[in-house]
Order: sequence, then C-alpha cells, then structure tokens
Amino acid sequence: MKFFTVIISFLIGIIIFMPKENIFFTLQKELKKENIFINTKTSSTILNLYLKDSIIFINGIDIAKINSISITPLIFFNKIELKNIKIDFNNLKITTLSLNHSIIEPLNIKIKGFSEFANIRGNIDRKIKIYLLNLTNETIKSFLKKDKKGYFYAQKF
Amino acid sequence: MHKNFKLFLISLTTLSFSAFIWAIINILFLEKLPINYNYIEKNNNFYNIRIDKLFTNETTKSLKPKQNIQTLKGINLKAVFENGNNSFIIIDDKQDIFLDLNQKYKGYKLIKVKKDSAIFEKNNKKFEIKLSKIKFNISKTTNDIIKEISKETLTHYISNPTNIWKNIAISHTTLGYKVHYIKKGSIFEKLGLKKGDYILEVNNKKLNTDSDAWQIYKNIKNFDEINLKIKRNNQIKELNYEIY
Repeated sequence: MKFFTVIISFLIGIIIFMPKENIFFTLQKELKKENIFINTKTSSTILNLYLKDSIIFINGIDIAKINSISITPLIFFNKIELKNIKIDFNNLKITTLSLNHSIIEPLNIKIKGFSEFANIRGNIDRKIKIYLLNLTNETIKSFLKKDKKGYFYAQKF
Repeated sequence: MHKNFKLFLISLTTLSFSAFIWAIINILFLEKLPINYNYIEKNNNFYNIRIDKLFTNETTKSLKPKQNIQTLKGINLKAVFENGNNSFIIIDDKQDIFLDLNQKYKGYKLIKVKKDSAIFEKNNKKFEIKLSKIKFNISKTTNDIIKEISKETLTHYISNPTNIWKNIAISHTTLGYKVHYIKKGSIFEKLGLKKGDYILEVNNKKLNTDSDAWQIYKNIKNFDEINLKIKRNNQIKELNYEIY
C-alpha cells in the first residue's frame, strides 16, 4: 500500500509540478539550432500548456500561423491539440489537428485532423505517414504519393 | 485513522519530493526565458552587384533623378560592347553599322552604352534603343538570350500556385529539382524549361532543400532578374530572365 501510494503521489507530483513553460523554452532553444523558431505567447495550468497566436519560422520564413495550441502532458497519455492553422502556401487552413501519444503504444503518435481541403489521418512511429482523405486541392496532390487508401505524405527518419 | 494519516504524510512527502526534483531540473537544465525569432520584414534580400565594377578606378556616381528618355524607333540594336570610353554598338539598318561612343548616326549622337541598351542624344533630347530580346511569343529559344517576364505574370503565379502545378511537375532530388512534366504551350515551356531538366540553382542559390526553394518562392517578387542554372543532357546551362 505504501509503495503504491508513493508511486501514485510521485507521478501526480511529476505531472502537476512539471515546469511546462520552461520545458517549452528549452525546446525552443533546441529548435533554434535547426533554425526553427516558434514565436508565441505561453501560459500554463496544472495539467496544460497553452500557446497562443504562434508563428513558426523555418530558416527565417514564416511557414505557419496557429491560433491556439494546447499541450497536455500526462506521462501515460499525452496530447497536443492545434486549432486554426494557416499554412503560408496557397493559403491552406487546417481547422483542428491533434497528436495523441499513449503508453499503450509508446513508439506511436496518432495524428487526426480536419481541414478545408481534406481529412487528415496519420501516425508517427519510425516514419511519418499522413493521409489526406477526400483531398480536393490539386496543388497539394502534386506533392503527395498515392495508394489505395488515398493521397499521403511519407517521410522516414 | 493513524494509518491513513501516515499514508497522507507519505503522499505529501512524495509530492514535495517530485516538486523538488523539478525545481532542481529547472534550475540546472531548463531555459527561463522564451526564445523568439526577431522578424523583420525584408523588402529586398537580393542585390544586383557588378563584381567587375568593384576592381576599377571608376568612382561611383550618385544616382540622379531619372530623365525623360524617349524610345528611338526604326533602328534595331543588334549588339552592345560595354567598355567605358571604348564602348561601341552594332545597329541593323539594312546592313550592320558599327558605332563608337560619341559618334553620330543620322544626327543622333551615341552618348551612353548600357548592358542592354544604347542612349542617343539629339537636340538636347535623349533617346534609347533596347537590345532586341526574344519574348514569350517567340517559340525559338536559345539559352544565352535573356527572356522577359512581366511582373504581372509573376505576381499571378505567386498568388495562384495551383496554376503552376497544372503546368509543371517537379520533385526534389539530390541534384536539385527535376522537371517531370511540362504542359505543352505553357509559360514554363516558353521559358525554355524541358522535361528531364534539373534545376540546380536560382540566382546563384543552390536548391539543396525544400526550404531553399521555399525561400526563393517567398522572395521572388523582389527579384529584378532570375537566373536558373540547369542540368540538361549532362550539360550545365543557364537560363536568364528579366522582370519588367
């Protein structure tokens, strides 16, 4: 019983006392080495980290603007939810995009999203594979591969 | 009750311990302040620098306000040779006529030779003849000739990238961007690109990554000239375009 109490209390402590904003600033520092920047306003609660009006710069180019990002790091179940993403290419807009990670599949991140041009489904394990289902935008099609399920973007690490 | 209080104390201690661990990690390893990109709107990232002018004794003249220069019609400028006071031009008037700087032809005095035009003077008025160029509507193309792209055409394609991918298909390779498809009669065919070409550089910038291409795409509206270095049939060629 004591052992169980210690483990549970420790995990709860790790989650609620996690310095989420400072971890994010450290992530920003690491991304800076790759010339990737996320300009944003941060705020946090006991369970979440919120990023508001984020702009992602890669090599000095503003690639995307994201209205709000909510990060929920619960160790066993982690979730990143992005809302109103505007990609600065052909004015693409993604309404919602969520990335889910669970301890049940520790090496797999599931991606799910909805946009004006397609429904987004995918996963990241040892490679990224994202399907754009019911894709209507011809411009994006020319950048993607196609299989029976539909158009997809794939990238190996 | 005593047992429950003991468990409560254990959990409180463990919570404090986890908070302590985070505090140590925070102090020792984590960043305290956000790192933002200082975004400055750049209007002109690319400059046309004449390297040959850097090593001469000629002093740089300050820019004067543009004078009203009329276009001289009826005379066809075939070639220019720009070399200071020894500059000369070749004009086509039924036969080739060589004209040195300060020499007169039909009352027009050649006062200046530019890289793509010649300036004449008559009765204190200035006249310009542009070097003959091949435009889009001419189907015969050679790689050494500068082609013209209007700013409107460029802006149209930047604003409507869908129209680009209807006419051309490219993919990134280790060499550069490979042209897989070009629609017949499209602007890209008229620009001189062919299926199987590898686009290696744009304005002397190598296209190693998608980001390089993206950076050029974002800045292309600021260019006055576009120079493409391509590989065709194992030969390196250059395609030059002037934005007007």
